[in-house]
Amino acid sequence: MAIIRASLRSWLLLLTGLVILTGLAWWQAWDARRAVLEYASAHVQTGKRGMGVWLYDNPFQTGEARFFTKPPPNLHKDRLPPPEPGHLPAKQRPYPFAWRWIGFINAPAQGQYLLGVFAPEGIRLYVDGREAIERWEAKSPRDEMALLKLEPGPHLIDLANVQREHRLELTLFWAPPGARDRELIPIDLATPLAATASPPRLDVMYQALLRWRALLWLLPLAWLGLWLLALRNPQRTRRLLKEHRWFLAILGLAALLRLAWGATVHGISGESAFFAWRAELVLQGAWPFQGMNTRVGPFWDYVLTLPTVLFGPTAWGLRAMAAAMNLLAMVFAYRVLLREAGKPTALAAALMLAALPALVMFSRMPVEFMALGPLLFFAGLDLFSLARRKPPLAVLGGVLWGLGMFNHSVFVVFPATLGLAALAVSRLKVLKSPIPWGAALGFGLAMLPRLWDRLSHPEVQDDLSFLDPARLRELGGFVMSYLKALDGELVYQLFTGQLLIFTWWVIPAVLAAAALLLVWGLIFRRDDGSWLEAALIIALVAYLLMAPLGAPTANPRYFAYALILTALILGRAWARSWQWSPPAIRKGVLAGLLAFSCFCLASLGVNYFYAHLATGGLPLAWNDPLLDHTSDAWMNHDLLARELAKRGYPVVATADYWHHTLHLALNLYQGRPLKFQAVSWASRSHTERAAVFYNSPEGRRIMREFIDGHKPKEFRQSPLPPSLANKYILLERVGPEVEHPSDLDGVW
Amino acid sequence: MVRARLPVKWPWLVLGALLAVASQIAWLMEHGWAEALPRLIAGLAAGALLLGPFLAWVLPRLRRRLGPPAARLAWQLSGLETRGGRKAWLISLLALCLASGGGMYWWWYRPNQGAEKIRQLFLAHAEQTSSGLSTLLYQGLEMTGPALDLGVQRDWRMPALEDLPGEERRNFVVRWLGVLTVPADGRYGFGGAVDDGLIILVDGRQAAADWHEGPPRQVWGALALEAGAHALEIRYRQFHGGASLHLSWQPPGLERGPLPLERLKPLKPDPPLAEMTGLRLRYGLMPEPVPIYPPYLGGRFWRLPWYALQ
Repeated sequence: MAIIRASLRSWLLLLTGLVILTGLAWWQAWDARRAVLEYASAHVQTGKRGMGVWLYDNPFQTGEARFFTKPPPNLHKDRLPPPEPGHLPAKQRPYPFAWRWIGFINAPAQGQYLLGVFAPEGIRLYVDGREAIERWEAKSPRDEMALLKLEPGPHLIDLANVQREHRLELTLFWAPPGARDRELIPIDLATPLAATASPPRLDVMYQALLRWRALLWLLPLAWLGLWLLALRNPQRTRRLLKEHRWFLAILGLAALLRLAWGATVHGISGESAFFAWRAELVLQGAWPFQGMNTRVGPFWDYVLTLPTVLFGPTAWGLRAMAAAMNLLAMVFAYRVLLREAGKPTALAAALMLAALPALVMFSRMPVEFMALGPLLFFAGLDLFSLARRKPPLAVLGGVLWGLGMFNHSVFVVFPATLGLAALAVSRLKVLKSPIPWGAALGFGLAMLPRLWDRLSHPEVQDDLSFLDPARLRELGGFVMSYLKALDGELVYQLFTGQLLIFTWWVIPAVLAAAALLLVWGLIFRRDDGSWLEAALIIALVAYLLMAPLGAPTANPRYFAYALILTALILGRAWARSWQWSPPAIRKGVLAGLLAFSCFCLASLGVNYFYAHLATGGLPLAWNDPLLDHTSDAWMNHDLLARELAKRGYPVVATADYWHHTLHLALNLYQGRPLKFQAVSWASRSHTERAAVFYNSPEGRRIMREFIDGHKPKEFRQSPLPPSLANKYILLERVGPEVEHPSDLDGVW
Repeated sequence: MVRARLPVKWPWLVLGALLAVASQIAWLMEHGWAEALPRLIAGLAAGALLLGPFLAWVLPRLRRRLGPPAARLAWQLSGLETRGGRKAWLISLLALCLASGGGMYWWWYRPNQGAEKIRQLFLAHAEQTSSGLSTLLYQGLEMTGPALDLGVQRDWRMPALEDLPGEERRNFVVRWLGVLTVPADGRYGFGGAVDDGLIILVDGRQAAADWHEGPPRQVWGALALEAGAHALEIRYRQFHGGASLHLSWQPPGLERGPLPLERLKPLKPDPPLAEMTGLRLRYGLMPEPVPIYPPYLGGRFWRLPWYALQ
């Protein structure tokens, strides 16, 4: 009994691909390691002994470093009591710092070496470009050790560490083969790197090595997946591509819009940057729930580890992943609609999902419920559809929806509205099917980890409940935001402060016509497929009614699922109108659909190009009280990052609101290595040279708190270019100076 | 004689009474036991007289009504009625067995293997003819050699002042190493009063640990041991200020008392300390380092980088 059926030629193709890709990745990884050693060898201080030390005046390894050559570290200084207020004794360092110790260590023999560091706070030890110790965390002095097999000869040791204020503790030790106890590395075996070497350059090379080590198993897996899906049976693949060529064309349009349009508008959500940062933590070994806001599940973080390990955290990597999730979601949407409602509905709905301006606009926000959420939603629906013949798949579908709910509490309303719709349309008969029960079982299973986490850590529960019946008063405003969001009108309004009155009503009007058509069909043309439009309309109305209860503001992204339902309703209406029309005017209906799609694309273009032409690409400050005024998806974070890098501050504090983390967005826009480190304003590393706040009531309030937490006149306002001044306020440090640590004199 | 028949069968009454009593116990555990007796009596009575008959009425009806549909639903959702479903179950069970086996190897077998290797290493280097523990002094907190060998100690005293760095009782670590023979299988407690830090390792496993700087306090832990010889390592760390250590152990069924000298054998000079550390690292016996200043526990934000969000 063959588990996988394939011809001999297909198997050979698979094996050849695996061998080639594995070999390629292995060779590239070897070459990346060789490049690291070659670079380090080209910058070694021949004839000298010890290690090169790059000493930074902040804990983030940014800005200019002072360079020293010192013996391998064995540095201790008693912890001194904090100074009396107003009295700062000499050589008392009131702020933390970071340093890098880099050099070649000559291993005397082949064998297993114990390498270790005794130090506080963050510790990273790289040996020959590969991480041996990765413990970048805030902790008191402790041993971190690793066992490594080394050949005799020189090996590059790169130690990064942070030291707290008022304290100094760093020892690098080893135990070579045959050693009785761990010991300090003899200075005779250490050769320092020169000041011409660049630690940031080395970091870039380490990332390249890490990338190829990850690709060593990712590439073969990807090839296997491609072979299983497409290459195993080329004739079948060709037939499917031909049969679904129109859908593929729509998918291509969707890809173009999500990647190209998304990159043209400034800003990326600080919330998205939060996930990219968490993906980095996951790669450094964080446990799934630790550090996790209980509101948000860990799955998007894990999905983002893939681009992060390959390319490092980048804004375009986030967008590309979000686009990929969106496209996969469309594939599953097409599948389920093809099976349940026929090809016309599937194609029309796919076109609407691809072209509806709101969905394109919000797909550029790579937060979990805009990207992973739709994928889980449609994949779940596909499984429920398949469960008609294979009931256990309903459990799997429920698990996927439970994971979606795990990701964001906004998802709570979504299964509820679809469930309500199914119950109403079937008049409770759906309860006789195993599908809803399987879905409920899967849902419960997927929620168990989160339930366990909440029950076992009651002390760190966030105030999750957005449920506020008083917000029902603002139902009108919520619906208005939803309607304005439909054609991306909000973008235009952000830039110009006005609605493009003569166009913004078009898509809502078409939606109203579509709904009327479907309701007419339900009354006069009811058939076996009518349940779909009934369910969609009931779900949309229920969602809009429930949105004010569940969403903290009328921020359009909370309407993500309403927008998806809208696209499905529009698609269904076009398909039904085509189906119900006499053959003579079907071409006209098709032309109407295409014209409407073109209008959607034009609306996107108008909202962007015209708005940019009119305003130079500078969005206005938020004025609408219903909208989340610190929602930073429309800010100019990339421009701000460039401005701050130009000014040369090594460390910048930033205002943050909840999880809209400006500092993470600024770091994301810089790529790696960082030109400056943006930190939360509450971190108080005391090494900030500048601080940035939103130019909004909330931002100004945080700024006052920040100023109150520092000495008088420690910071003063500095002007920003007009393109940024309406959004941000910049403070510059005027004193006291932040110096390189001077208390090391006499110690090392 | 006329036998009275209960309207409800007695198992239902017992079930009702048990459930009611259990709910009262849960309440008392949360709110205190001051009203225990009246609550328990009332619960017993209410459960037997009210809950039991209710359960006797409702549960059989539910079973008649829902039993067959629930059974049918479970059968459908299990997938066992199709060949593909049965294959999927087989593969899933196989995967589960492999994962469980892997987990058992990694978290149980591998550390046990490591503990055994450490035990054998200590036994191979044990001094058979004397009693006590080998004592090493590290001048500094980082435990990097060369350590000063203070010979075999038979009591727990601080190192002599002249042996300490700067002749001050600060910033040093003492390591006592040897073999401990326990008389019987059972759970053994280890620990004592210490200022500042103490770690006790038995066969490389942490029996008790509190390595942080602090005032005199009790440190205690326990391990299950088999009868026979075991590797024992005691580490003491002194920062500054007060310095004290009073070690105890507690065999199963006995009171706490000082470690008996006759059960301790020192190691020969120059034990392979690096090899011992290497074995602990390789076999997963090295626990996570614990902070020595507040916050002592990593908490839920354990892996966040420096100056993280929260």
